[in-house]
Order: sequence, then structure tokens, then C-alpha cells
Amino acid sequence: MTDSDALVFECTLDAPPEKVWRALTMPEYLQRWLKPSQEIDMAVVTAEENVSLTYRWREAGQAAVVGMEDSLVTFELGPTTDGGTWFRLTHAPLVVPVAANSNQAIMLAA
Amino acid sequence: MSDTDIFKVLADPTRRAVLERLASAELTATELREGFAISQPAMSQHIAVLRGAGLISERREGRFAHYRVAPEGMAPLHKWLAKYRAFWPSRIDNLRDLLKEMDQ
Repeated sequence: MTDSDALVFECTLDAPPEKVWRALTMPEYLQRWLKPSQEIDMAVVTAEENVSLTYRWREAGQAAVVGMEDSLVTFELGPTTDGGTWFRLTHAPLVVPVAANSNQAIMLAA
Repeated sequence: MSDTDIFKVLADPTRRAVLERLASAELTATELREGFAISQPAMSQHIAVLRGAGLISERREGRFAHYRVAPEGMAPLHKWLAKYRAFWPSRIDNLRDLLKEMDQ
């Protein structure tokens, strides 16, 4: 059991945040590194250029874990002193039931 | 209750402690409450929430109810965590490779 309700991966990358940002936002780049093994519907929820980016991550098809189809993937970026990027990826399931609509509505509207 | 609500259920430290305790033994509500500074109604409420989420199951024996972990209740969450624990490290490696190939 995890203490937090999310998977978190943190590392540094040998490229400036601006370049990492392009890899995270341009569809042709995304496709090249994400290589989704199943159908994933990604929609931008919030974005602050070169700083943070959140996608709604929705699994479809047979490989989806039933009941866990919807989640949020957040990338956080920051410059390091040597011109690289501090990178943190947080992947969290959506805990809000569909019927409790406030948060859900906000995300769908984004 | 949907499976994703498991996270909400487990956000409560008392409920996590109850689950941990039940992971090693089947216990009655009275036994469960030992060591917790909470009232009997409060414990009943936590048990009801855990049962509602399918995380624990109840077995009646006379006047006593015995509780234990329902392993299948955790399955979707564990599957999901296992899947993405494996997924992301390889993708971050891909991202490193891509960054080398990209112009400036």
C-alpha cells in the first residue's frame, strides 16, 4: 500500500525545460516516447508553459483496468544549474465518483 | 461504490490501520477496537465504509461478527499500480532517447 495516492517518478533530464516541454506537448513527439500499448485518450487539463502540465489520462479497450480507467498525469519541470531539467511525473487515479460532479465537470470543461 | 473510491476510503489513517490489522487475522469489532482511541460507533462507521468498498468481508457467528480482508477488493488498485510502475520507467527512458534526437 502506498502512503500517497499516486505514483511519482522524479529525475533529471539532459535537456532544458523548453525542450522537454516540446517533447511533452507536441503530438508527434509524445507518440514517439509514450508508445502507448493500448488506446489512451489524453486531454490537457492544465498547462503552464515550461513549468507544469496535466493530462487527463483515460484508458479504453480491453487492457483497461476496470474501475481505474480515468487518471491524471502531471509533469512538473524546473531548470537545473547545469542547463538540464528537474522532472517529476505524478500519475494519480481519479478518486471523484462520476456522480459527484464538481471536480469532474471542471476537468471536462478544461 | 466504484473501485476508484478505494483511494478515498484508504485516505483515512484509521481505516488503513484497521485493514493492516485484519491482514494478519480475522477479528471481531471489539477486538478491532483495542488500541484505537475511538468510540464503538465510530469503529462501526469505519467498518461499514470498508465493507461498502468491498475491502473487508463479514462473517456472522452467533452474536458476533468477524471481519477479514477481502483480497479481491484490492485487485483493481493493485493491478493499476503494478501496470504503471512498469510503464513509466521505460517511457522515461524513451523520453531521454528522444531528447537526444530532437533539434536543440
